[in-house]
Formats: sequence, C-alpha cells, structure tokens
Amino acid sequence: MSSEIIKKHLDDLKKQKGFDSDFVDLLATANDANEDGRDTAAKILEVIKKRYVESKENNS
Amino acid sequence: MLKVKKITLSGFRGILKPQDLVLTVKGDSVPRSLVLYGLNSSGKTSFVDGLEWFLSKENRIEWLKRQDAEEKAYPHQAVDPKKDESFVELEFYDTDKKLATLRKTYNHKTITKPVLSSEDDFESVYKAFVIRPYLRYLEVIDFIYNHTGVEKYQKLANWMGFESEQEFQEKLAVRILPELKKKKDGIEGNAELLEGQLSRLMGTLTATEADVLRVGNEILGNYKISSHSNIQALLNHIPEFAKLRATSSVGITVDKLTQAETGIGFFKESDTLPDSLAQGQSQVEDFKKEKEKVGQIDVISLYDQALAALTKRTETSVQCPVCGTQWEKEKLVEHIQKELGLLTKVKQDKEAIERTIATLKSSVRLELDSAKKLLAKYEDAQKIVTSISYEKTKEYQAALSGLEDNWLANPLTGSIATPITKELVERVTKEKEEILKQISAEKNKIQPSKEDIRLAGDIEKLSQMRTKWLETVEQRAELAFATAQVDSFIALSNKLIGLIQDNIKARFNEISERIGKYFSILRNDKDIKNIEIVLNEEKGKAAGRSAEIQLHYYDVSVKPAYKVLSESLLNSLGLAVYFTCIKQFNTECRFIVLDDIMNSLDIDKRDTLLDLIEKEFGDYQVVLFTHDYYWFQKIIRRFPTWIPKKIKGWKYETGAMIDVATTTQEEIEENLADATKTETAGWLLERHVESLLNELCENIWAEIRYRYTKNDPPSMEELFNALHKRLKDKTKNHPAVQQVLETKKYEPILRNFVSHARSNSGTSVAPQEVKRAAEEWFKLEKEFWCGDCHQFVEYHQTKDSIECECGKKKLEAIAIESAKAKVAQ
Repeated sequence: MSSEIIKKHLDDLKKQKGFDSDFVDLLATANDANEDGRDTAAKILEVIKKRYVESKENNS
Repeated sequence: MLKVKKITLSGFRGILKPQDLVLTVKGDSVPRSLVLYGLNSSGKTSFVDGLEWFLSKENRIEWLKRQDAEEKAYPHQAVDPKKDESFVELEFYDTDKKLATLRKTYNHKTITKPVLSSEDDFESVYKAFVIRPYLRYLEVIDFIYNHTGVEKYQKLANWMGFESEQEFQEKLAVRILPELKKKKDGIEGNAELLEGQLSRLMGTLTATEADVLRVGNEILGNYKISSHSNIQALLNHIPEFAKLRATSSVGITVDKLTQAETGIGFFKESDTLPDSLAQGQSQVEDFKKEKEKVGQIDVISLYDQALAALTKRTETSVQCPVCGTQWEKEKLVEHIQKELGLLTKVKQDKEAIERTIATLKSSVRLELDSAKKLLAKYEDAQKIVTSISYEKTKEYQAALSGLEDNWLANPLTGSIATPITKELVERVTKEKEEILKQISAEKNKIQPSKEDIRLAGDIEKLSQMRTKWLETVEQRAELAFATAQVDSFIALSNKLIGLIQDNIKARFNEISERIGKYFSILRNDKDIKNIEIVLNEEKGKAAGRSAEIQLHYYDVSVKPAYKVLSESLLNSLGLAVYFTCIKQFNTECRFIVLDDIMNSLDIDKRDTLLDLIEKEFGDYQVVLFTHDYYWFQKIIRRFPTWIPKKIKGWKYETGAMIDVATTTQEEIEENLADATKTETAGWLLERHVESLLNELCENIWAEIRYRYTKNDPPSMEELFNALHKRLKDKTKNHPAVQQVLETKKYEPILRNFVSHARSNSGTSVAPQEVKRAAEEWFKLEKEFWCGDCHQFVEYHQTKDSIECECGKKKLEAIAIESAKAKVAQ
C-alpha cells in the first residue's frame, strides 16, 4: 500500500538541496509500487556500483 | 453514520432457534441503546461472539482460538448441518443508505470460509469498524498490558491509518538498510582478508603502505637496488625487477614451483572452526530434545494471557484455557507457568541456534573457498612434482562441501557424514607442510644455484605483494566510496523517517489528549497526569517503530504506564484507551457493545463509566450486557431512553429467552396487581429499598455503622435513622425529612421479606400493606431524584449542599411555615 504522506515528503526532499535525487527517486518508486525492500536495496546497490565504475573511469 | 437496528443469531454458539436482539422501539426506526440483564451463563456472550465473528475479516472469535475449539465450536451443538443453518445477521441503520441487512452463514464444508450475503458490503463493514466495537471484561487492559511496544505501534498504525508509513519504516529498517550494510561489510571483509594475506606474505603484523614500502625496499636492497621513497615508485619497479626471472628451463621450473609455494603459503586453515562446529552441533543436539515443543512456540502469548486471566478467577477448580484439562486453580497456575517457562526457553534456544548456524555457514563458505584455491595450487605443483599427493585436503574440501549442503542447510534433520575435527585440520596442515617440503626438495634436486632460488622467491614475493597491495587498495577505495554512498542514503532515510515520525507523533498527541480527558472522567486522580502515547525513540532494535503509554505519577515520568498502576487504575486506563480509539477511529460507526465490563471497575467507580458514556458518547448506540441487577436498575434510571431487556432464562433447545425489562417500581406494581404475587412484590420492594437506602446514605454522607462482615450489614432501621439524621442536620425542615419518617413506619412490613426472615413466623402481609409501603417509598425516592439529569442528589462538600449533578434538584433548609404548607399539599 503506497503512502501519500511519504510521496509528499519525498517530493519535498527532492526539492531540497543536500539529498541524493537518484536515491529519492528510488524510494519514491519503492513507495508507489509497494516494492519489496530487498528489491529496492538491490537497485540502490546497482546505482552505487555504477557510480563507482564511472568514478574509476573518470579518475583513470 | 452507521448504527445497528437488529442482531439475529441462529444455530450459533448458545442459540439454536433464531433469536433477535431488537435495538429499535415501535414507531421509531432510529436505533437506540440497550441494556440487557442476564445471569451468568444465560447466553449474553453468544451475542458478543456472534458480533465478533460477523465483524472479523478472518472469521475468527479470538477467545475460541484454543486447541479443540476454534471454528468447530461456533455452531450450536444441536445443529444438523444437513437441515439447519448457523448464521449471524445484522440489520444496519445507515444514514448513507448503503448498507441494509447482512448475513454471515457458517459453512460446514469449509468452516473457515463462511458464506457472505454480499462480499462487497461485508468489505465496507470491515473497513468501517476500524476498532472492534465490542469490549469484554477480560479485554479491558489487553492493549496496555499484553502487547509489546512494537505490537502497540502496529496496532495503533492499523487503527490510526498509518499502516503504509509504518510498513515503509519497517521496510527501510529491516530490509533496505541491512542489505546495504551487508554489502558494505562484504567489501570490508574482502579488504581485511587481502590485508591478512599480504601481512602473512611479508611476515609483518600489519599491511600498511609503510610496511609494503619497507619490506619491498629491503628485498630490492639485497640486489643493490636503491630504495624507493614512495609506494608508487616501488610498485612501478617490481615488473622491471621480475624481468630478471630466469629464462632457462630450470629457471622456469623453479619459478613455477616458487609460485605454487607462495600460493600454498597463503592458505591458513581455520583453527577455530572444528570447535565452533562441535559447539554448534551439540547445541543442535540439545535442542532436538525440545523439538516437540518447537511447534508450540506460537502459543506463548496465549499462555501469557491465560495466566493473567487466571489470577482474576476465584474458583478453586478451573479448566486450562489452552489445553482444556480440568485443574485445581493453584496447580493450573503452576502448570501454565511451567509450560510458559519451557516454551520461552525453547523460543530463545531456537533463535540462538539460528544465529549460530548463520555464523557457521559463513565460516564454512570462506574455508571452502580457500581449500579450493589450495587444491588448484597443489595441482600446479603436481605437474612438476608428480609424487605430490593431497588426499587429506580433498577429504577436507569434501567434508566442508558436504557440511554446507547437508547439515548446515537443515541442522535439525540433516546429518554430518565427515565431521570437521581438529585431527582432520591437523592432517591437512601436516599434508601442506609435507608438500611444501617436497616442493623445496624438488627445487634442490634440479640444482639451481642458491642465488637463482632466492631470486625466484623474491620475484614471486614482490609480485604477489604488488598484486595483493593493489587489490587491497582497490577494495579500500570501493569501501570508502560505498560507505560515503550508503551514508548519503542513510542521511536521506533518517530525514524521511524523522518526517514520518513527526507526523505520527502529532497524531499520537491528538489521541493522548483524549485519553487523558476520559481517564480523568473515570478516575479523578490528581496524582496521575499527562497520559501520553509516545514513540519509543531510545536506541534499540525497534527505535522509532514502537509505541508505549507514558504518564506522570506523583510528578515522575513513567513508561510503560503499567509499571506503577494498580489493577483498578489499569482497568480505568484500558477503558480510557478503548473509548478514545472508538471515538477517534470508528468515525462512521457509532455503535459499541460492552460485555460485563463494569466488573473490571471498583463499585464506587462504576458511576463514572456511566458519566463517560453520557458526556462523551451521548450520540453513540451502546449495547451493555450485565449480570448485576442493581447496576442494571441504575442504568435504567439513568438512561430512560435506553431499551431495557432481560434474559428470563436459557434453554439448550432455544438459547436465551429475552423479555422486555421494567423498572423495579413497574415490576413491583405488576406483581401487586396479581394477588398471588404479593410475596414476590414484597421481596422485590425490600431488596430495592435496602440497596437504595445504602446508596442514598452514601450519597449524602450519612454516618452508618462500619460493616465488619458480610453477615453483619446495617439493618434497614439503622439506614433510615442515619438518612433522617443527616438530612435533618443539613436541610432542617425540608419535607424529605418528614417523608423519611413516614416511610420508615413501613419498615416492619418490609422486614417480613428480608432473606433472613424466619420462614415459619406465621406472619402474612396483606397486598394493601405492601402497596402502601411501596407508595411511601417511591414518594421518598422522588424527593431525592432529579428528572433532568436522571441522578440522585449528593452531598457537595465545597458548597455544603445536597443537590444533583445538574443542580436543578436541591434539598435546602426551608422555613417552617413553608415546610408545613408543603407537607399539607
């Protein structure tokens, strides 16, 4: 069951500076789709992995 | 708005033939409140059971969950499933005109799935009754006492409609964040493993940049190569140095053997694994003895509740509510405590086993990976030294593999084919040392120079140091990156949780205020203040996801509230919480059923429950069941618009026989109209006069002799005298003073009907005498009764006056002439 309150909080957080907007989007999807927590975690780890590979490429 | 016009039960619990509880009166379709009087075991609870089953989405009656009861116990025992139906039907009064009559029929074929007259309408009903609208005596303190903080939070989430927020919090706390932490720990573990291998290779305690630089420079120094000032320069130099590797066939063989030697050297058998496995195995073996109890862990809460309920019972012989056996009460308490102790221990043991197995699984996996790498190195060496045999290591690998697939996968039923013993590990170590010796011997046999051997060793060592250092640096960099990313996610998650919690706290504050208000109506206790439902935010597993009731007791903050409250105060708090939840969450349904709950309150606090209903639930439809006749009459007097009904009797074939109830006055008058029922009328009048004299004396603070024992109550004459004296002191010549004396004249007549009167006294009383006594008494009662607030007058110390709650009825001292005139009238 998705929560309108969480949706609103996440919208507000996205507008604020200082929070990772990709992560905010992932949480918003998790809320909207009532996603299993492990699936959300896997998506977050995927983002982190991708960013790490990119950062290595940029540094090399 | 939803109320109920009629509840019908048939073939259900104690009711065989269709039985209606009609909640309307002729000529008025709007449902009313009802008070139903019936002795214990007269069938009242069948209606509550029926209602619970009707309103339960899971089609369950909670208190019948015990073994051998459950759904099988719902239909009346005499019901013939082929001919008769067992059903509960409710006729609703719905201002939105959406719901009319709904019926839930017991399904004998699939007892957990009843037949619903309309699935959609039932769904609407389940949604509308957020809080179950029935409260039983034993459930009054349930929420406060029998639930953990996490359970309270989940229940409140369900009632207050923040389930999705609660689920999201739960998802973040127990699914997402632990997965991220697991990944981070994995990277950290790999880095530590690499550092361990590097430090073993270098023969140092740590594996820092300085260690690598120092050891690397030392090796190069042996070849007159000048030291490098930084790690990068050293790493760049190592490939150059490796070019010195011999190119002859002897040199190549020596290189290969050295590589194998170094690789084998990385392997370090686990010294602790055999002991850890043996301990785990013995833990599991001990636990297997408790295996039969494992399936019963779920009944722990049932035993807890049974124990709590049992302490309130006064009978000496009772039935175990869990297993159904008949016991002496004390022995049953002992039995339940023993079972509870055993099951709690089994539960704790089971959780401990699960933790142990998880740790063992990860240790075995690491050891198995290492053993596989070792075998690969042995194979490489065997290509050169064919005599190398590594059967023990193969055995070790097979044992680890078997352990992982079998026992660790299913510790309670799986077996261990080859145990991992210290002896086996020692044999693997010995085999490794033997193989290393063989490799060393082979190197000597092919007779390279000492310099060649040393050079090959140093090249391999430096190359491995370079590889392991780069891998370690890579892992550390990944760890630092992942940590920063996860921390950034945690910051977001904390902010979000903080916002969710602020919202929930605001909602808690809303209901806390109401709980405090209702509690103060039920108990005017100045020492208990600031009752609040608060979020548990202390550090711990469920911080921010658990709730508790907190209050100030003698100005000290106490949480959970039940720590300091007596049973009586807990009952009042339980009622305050329940009524708050009904008011707050059942916004669409103004209907409550209270089953004998006043038994949970002290006698002097029962009026306050009626005050609460009157002040706060005046627009609610209340259905109140009681087995206390005095209380029943009090409710009839206090709420004249309620429908009064009584259960005349109960028969197995039919169930409760419900009849219209009347006030005592009407009942006495009815009996007096029949000459054969004078005795009954006199008996009713005597009981009524005696109980009301007690109440009036208490109300106006009349001094009565202390009642030492049950058999030594003040006599009727004493009560009349006390009432007269107090009234005279406070109101001087008020006509009520004279009326007390007039009524007292009939005391000798009423005395004939007291339960302890001599049965063969030969005294017979004429109906006219009883009638006159009744008339005088009810005249007196009128003097004390307020028709507006439906309450008797009371003495108010602050005003030093005798008046009713609303102040319209007041007994005041009046002038003699006026008093005479009033009496004359």
